Amino acid sequence: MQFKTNLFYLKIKCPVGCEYCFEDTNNEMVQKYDLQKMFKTFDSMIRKGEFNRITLHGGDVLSLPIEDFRYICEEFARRNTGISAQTSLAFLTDEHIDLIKKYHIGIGISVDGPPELNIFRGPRDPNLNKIYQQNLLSNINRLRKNKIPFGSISILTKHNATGENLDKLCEWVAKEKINGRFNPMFTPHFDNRMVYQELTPEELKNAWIRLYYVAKENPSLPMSPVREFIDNLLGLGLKSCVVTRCDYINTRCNTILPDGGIGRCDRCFQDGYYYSSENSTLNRSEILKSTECKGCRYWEVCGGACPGEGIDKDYRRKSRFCEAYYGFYSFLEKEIRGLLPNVILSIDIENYYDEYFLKERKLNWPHDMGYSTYHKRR
Amino acid sequence: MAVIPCAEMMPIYGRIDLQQKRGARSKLLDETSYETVKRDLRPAAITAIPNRVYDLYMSRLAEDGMFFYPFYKVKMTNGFMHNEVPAKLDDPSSFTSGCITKEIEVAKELKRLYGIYRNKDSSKKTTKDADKKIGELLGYPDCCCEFYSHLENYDPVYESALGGDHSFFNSELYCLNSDPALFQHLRYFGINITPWFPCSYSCKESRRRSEVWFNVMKSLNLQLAEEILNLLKKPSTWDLYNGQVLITHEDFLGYVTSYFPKVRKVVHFNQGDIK
Repeated sequence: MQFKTNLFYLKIKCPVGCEYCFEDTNNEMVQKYDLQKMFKTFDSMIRKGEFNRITLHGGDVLSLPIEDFRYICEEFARRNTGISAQTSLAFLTDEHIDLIKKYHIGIGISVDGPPELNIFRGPRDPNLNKIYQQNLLSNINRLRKNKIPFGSISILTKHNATGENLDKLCEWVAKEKINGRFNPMFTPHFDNRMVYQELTPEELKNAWIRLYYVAKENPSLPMSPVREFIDNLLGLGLKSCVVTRCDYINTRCNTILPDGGIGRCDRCFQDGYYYSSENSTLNRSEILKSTECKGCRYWEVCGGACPGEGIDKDYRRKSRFCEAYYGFYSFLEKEIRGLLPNVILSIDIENYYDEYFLKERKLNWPHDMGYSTYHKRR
Repeated sequence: MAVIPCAEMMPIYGRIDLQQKRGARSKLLDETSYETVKRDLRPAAITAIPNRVYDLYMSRLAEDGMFFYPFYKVKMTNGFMHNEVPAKLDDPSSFTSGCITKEIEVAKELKRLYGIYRNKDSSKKTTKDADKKIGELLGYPDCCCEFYSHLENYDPVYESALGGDHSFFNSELYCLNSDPALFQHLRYFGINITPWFPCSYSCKESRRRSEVWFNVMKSLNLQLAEEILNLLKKPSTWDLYNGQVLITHEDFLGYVTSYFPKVRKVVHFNQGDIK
């Protein structure tokens, strides 16, 4: 099914200070948020049917004044809109916990592994970083004690996703039952300092394959992109946004900016241009299909991948992690076909994207069975 | 390949007005084009009139001592386009393309030349001659008409830059000693003063005529005209790769569909000599 991620982006400047942040935190223009304008935009988008869930994002939402955080929760609840929040947990208080429980806020935490792997997160001062890491562990425990479920976004770098540290990462995921999304770090346009930590496509592929084995041993972990890419091959939709032919100028993500304007996916903020274009287009993917991605076996389930990862930082080009996407899909295809030699996969169907994904049709799915029925029986 | 012609702009934070004023800028450029004929600064102008305002436009032309001579109907498309798509006669959302002028002979000649220009069976030489004559009737400088008639592609931003002072760094062209009033690489967003491709961005005759055009523009909307010129004066880069132009301007990012050159073409404006 086609989906749009909807972000309520309160600020760019973030007090956490992670080393590889792709937001230009020196951008002084984005400092204050106007909640009235932001909700006005939200309401106009609801009328167009573009929202059913919102994610509070940007600048660590738990660092907002608590009265603003409460007001935002109340306003979304009043509109029957489900809320998610992405946070480092660095500013978690008991009041936040009460609000998270009261409004059933879906929490996503930003963590790259146990403290020794999580080194690029948090303040750059070593002493402050030590405190940050300890707080993070205790705050994860607080969430668990309060029976608050959470997911995570982990950024894969050379530090946590190669060599022995990759073993440690996999152990941590299995032991802590991390329901995570594992994205490759990419260096933003304005800052090349972290380029030495960017994974090569081969390294990224290997990391994803290792995480696949963790997922295989732990069927209850909805780990991304492992599960998503398996589902993509099985024709059960197309996720995540990076493989759905995002057009960069309009993106698969609506971001309500602090001034009430509508912006693109926050990955695009790296180039310094925040607002979205007025119209969307599939031109990038259409052109890639006939040029750089011509004849690719996994075109239907990749689409050139995230434009924010474009080769030479040029979003018109395919992802610089192309070989990782190709290699991982290739690995998964062999695994699936090894178990199910007669299965028909999405890549066996010409124009799967147009004929199935855009028409919200699923391939290996019993069409007379609803999703909830299926889950009950499972 | 199903590439849809488009021209989109994404402003920096706090400059959403650039997107909102796009219509106003385009209208000012249309009005300037109209006024230059009305004030006898050139013989004719090409325009496309939406069907819904056709009657109103005809009345206005008559009151100003001009008339509209229709050539053909084109479809309404979203944004800037390099190839006009023909429309059916009864398509209510189409435009009628043609010229505005005071002289019937000029109108007839322009229609004849456009017929040659649009006819795929015309020889290269005939098309080039027609192209050149069209430019002259539209009041563009002779040197620029000659330059344009020899071009092979439909978006000669790069070729105009090659025609003047420039330097290369990493195969990217830096445009030097240029006059922003002649720039055409932001025209997709209604940010230009003159409508023709100059033989170089420092062409003397184009400069002279651009002053006349800018004065007309200022007489219609001083503030917006100066805003357009200020946008043209800021550093920007035009980057064409695989049929897509990326325009990186201090105040916005632009995305436009274009033609497919064999190699990537990049032009830097108002950025001095990188060497």
